[in-house]
Amino acid sequence: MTDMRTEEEQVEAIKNWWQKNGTGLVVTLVLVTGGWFGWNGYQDNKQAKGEAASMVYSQLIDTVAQPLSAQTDASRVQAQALAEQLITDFNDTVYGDFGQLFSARFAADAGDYTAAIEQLQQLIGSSKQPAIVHSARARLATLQVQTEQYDAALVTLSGNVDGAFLVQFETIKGDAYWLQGDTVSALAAYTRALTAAQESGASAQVLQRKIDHLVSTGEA
Amino acid sequence: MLQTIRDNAQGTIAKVIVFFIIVVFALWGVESIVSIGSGEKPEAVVGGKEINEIDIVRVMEQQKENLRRQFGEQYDDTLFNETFLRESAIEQLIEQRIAAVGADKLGLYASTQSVDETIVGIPAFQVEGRFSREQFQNILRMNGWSPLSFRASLEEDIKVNQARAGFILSNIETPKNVQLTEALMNEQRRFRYVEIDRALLENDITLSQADIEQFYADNQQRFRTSEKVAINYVMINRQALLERQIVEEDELQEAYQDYVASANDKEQRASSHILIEWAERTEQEALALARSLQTRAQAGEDFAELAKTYSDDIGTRNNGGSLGLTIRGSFMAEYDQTLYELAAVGDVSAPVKTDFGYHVIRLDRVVAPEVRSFAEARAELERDIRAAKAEFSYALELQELANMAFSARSINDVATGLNLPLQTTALFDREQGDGVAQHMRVRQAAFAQDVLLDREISAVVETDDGALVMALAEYEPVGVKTLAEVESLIVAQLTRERATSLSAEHAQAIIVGDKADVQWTEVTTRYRENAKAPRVIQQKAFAIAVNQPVQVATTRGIAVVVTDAIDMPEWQSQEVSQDAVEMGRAQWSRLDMQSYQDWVRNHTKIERR
Repeated sequence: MTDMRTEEEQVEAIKNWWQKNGTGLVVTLVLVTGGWFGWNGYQDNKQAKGEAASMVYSQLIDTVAQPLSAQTDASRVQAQALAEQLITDFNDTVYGDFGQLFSARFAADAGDYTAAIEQLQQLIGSSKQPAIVHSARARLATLQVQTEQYDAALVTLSGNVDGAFLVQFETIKGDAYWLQGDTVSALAAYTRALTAAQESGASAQVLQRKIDHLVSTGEA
Repeated sequence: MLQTIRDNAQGTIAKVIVFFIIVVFALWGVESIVSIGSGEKPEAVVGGKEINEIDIVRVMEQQKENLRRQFGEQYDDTLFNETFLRESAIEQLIEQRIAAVGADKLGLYASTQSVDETIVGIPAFQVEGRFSREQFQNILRMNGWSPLSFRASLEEDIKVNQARAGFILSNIETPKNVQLTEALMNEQRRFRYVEIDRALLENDITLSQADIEQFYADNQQRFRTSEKVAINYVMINRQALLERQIVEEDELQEAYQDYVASANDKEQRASSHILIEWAERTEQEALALARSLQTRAQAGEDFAELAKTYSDDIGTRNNGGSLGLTIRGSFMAEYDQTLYELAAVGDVSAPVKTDFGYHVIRLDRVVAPEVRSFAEARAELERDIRAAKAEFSYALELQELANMAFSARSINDVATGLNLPLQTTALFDREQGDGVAQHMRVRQAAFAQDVLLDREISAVVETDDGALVMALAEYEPVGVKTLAEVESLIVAQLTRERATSLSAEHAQAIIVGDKADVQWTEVTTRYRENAKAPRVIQQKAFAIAVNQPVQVATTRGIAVVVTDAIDMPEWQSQEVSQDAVEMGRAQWSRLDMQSYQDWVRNHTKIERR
């Protein structure tokens, strides 16, 4: 810098530097600011979408949480519509998953087990939430038992099971075996369920009854 | 440092620093700076969420508040173990954090609007039924919240509730499940039982002396007694001292004079004043003005008007200068003295100089103190004199007792020397005793080395009742209770044990059919009904196969139960009621909820300090 004696020389040097690096600098600046705003915009958008879904979901659970006596056909239709909205508009959030769980429940309540089963199968295929998938598998198996698809129920319950969901899984397995007439396998499944229930402190009255019945009638 | 920055504000470094600060503020807000430096180590970290001291204190306060409400007037802070409350608060917070971590894992949101609605709807933030911002901020501050942290905790609540509702409200119960459960609950069984009463068998049991002695020999550890002592002591009794004091008539008279004098000091006087300061005039001018005001007031001019026009005391000048009713000693000494020298109501004083300026004082009112007559005051005076005298002689005798205890050769010498009775306690141990031994200090002194081992006279021990010195009278070492002392206990226990095994033998005899004319009770019932049979017996009857008698322990003894018939209804024929469906749904919901919570817990890192 000390070599540059005159202002002209300094201005000349800056001009040269700008010609060499100017474009690169501008592009970098644009990219960085663009990336920054883009990321922020994406985050804001995600937040806004999440909050919108949260509002719809709140409305849904408020409707369903009402006591039976306060529920009307209109409120049921409304709840169904809210669940549908979660499924279509917020498919990529967990609220879409919840929408499917509720939708399956409404179908099952109305006796449309086929629709409920389809809904849950879809959810199990798409959800990224292990806890929701486990819960959905248990419900699917219950519906398969209801529709006498005992083998399908046992397939649904087989495979990878988190220990936290053992009580449901083994109980429903037991039901499937029993109703198929395989009381020995049923008793074994119920006994595993009872052990898990005692460990987690879950209520086990019905389980105990099933085991006592099978043991004392010599069916197993 | 700020000055340096200001000096260099034109410099490049300062610009860079200022730019950095602006960026940080703009992007992350003030709290990013404020939160730096609150670097206290958290009590626990649950999945990245901290539990800090302030959270624990807040929960503990809440728990105490609940306990206070529950126990009402009986509540006492010391009733509850602080450590226990703390532990339970931490556990509660960990559960809360786990729930919050779960909601985050699911990716739930709480909208700004629902947080606002929640805040506005909280009754504690409302004044006359409407949300008040001031009230909101006050209550937050009182509880150590900032609006931001409070909102964050509400968001957490909303998300946690949404997660719960997702697992609970969407659950499914099928008709087949209901029917299976119903069939099991409606299963009917016919069974019979006979209960063998242990108490009745106890009469038949005879224990040999050898049995009892054997038990006594085998269980020496259980019958141990602790070390005991009895003491001889000499005591100065405060009550006795009090009763011994004699109060003379002239003492009473003297005390009454003192009482009257001090009561008169409690005379109250109301006064008004005019204050002349010399902030804007010389002291001489102030004095001259005050003097002229004194003269005008004494000549009959209205004091209140003069105060209003001339007084520099802003607090009283529009109020006639009135300072109200006071007792001696309330004001500066100069003011007080002048006020109490004024003879009659309405008199006006010469100017008095205090630190404030010159006061012209008028006496407004005198309230004479209440002075009781000698007859009225006598009883109290006598009591006071007696107590003071007793206190004095107690101090004297205490000194004498200590001296005697130090120099006397035996406790007897102390008693005769002081002309006090020698008393003796019953045997007592370290934990409890009667008479003077009920005081812990006395028991400690009795078991201290000087008394127990060295057989010396103790130092003075003071209790609420007085003071005493002691010496050992009797010592009983650690031992075992004699057989005679514990025989009844042993007999009761052995009888019970024998009766229990005898009942089991009877039961076994019934089971193998060795017993004729058994008095069976027959029962036919469904599982869900409560038959007359004790619940344990019914429960057993529903868990055993037909014709296989078994023993059941009951509260009264042992029962033999035989199930004769099982009648399980067809599940297909069971009714499916809406109530039963909802009950089934509720059970699945509870199960799913618990599984979800366990799942979160198993997948969350919990670190404790």
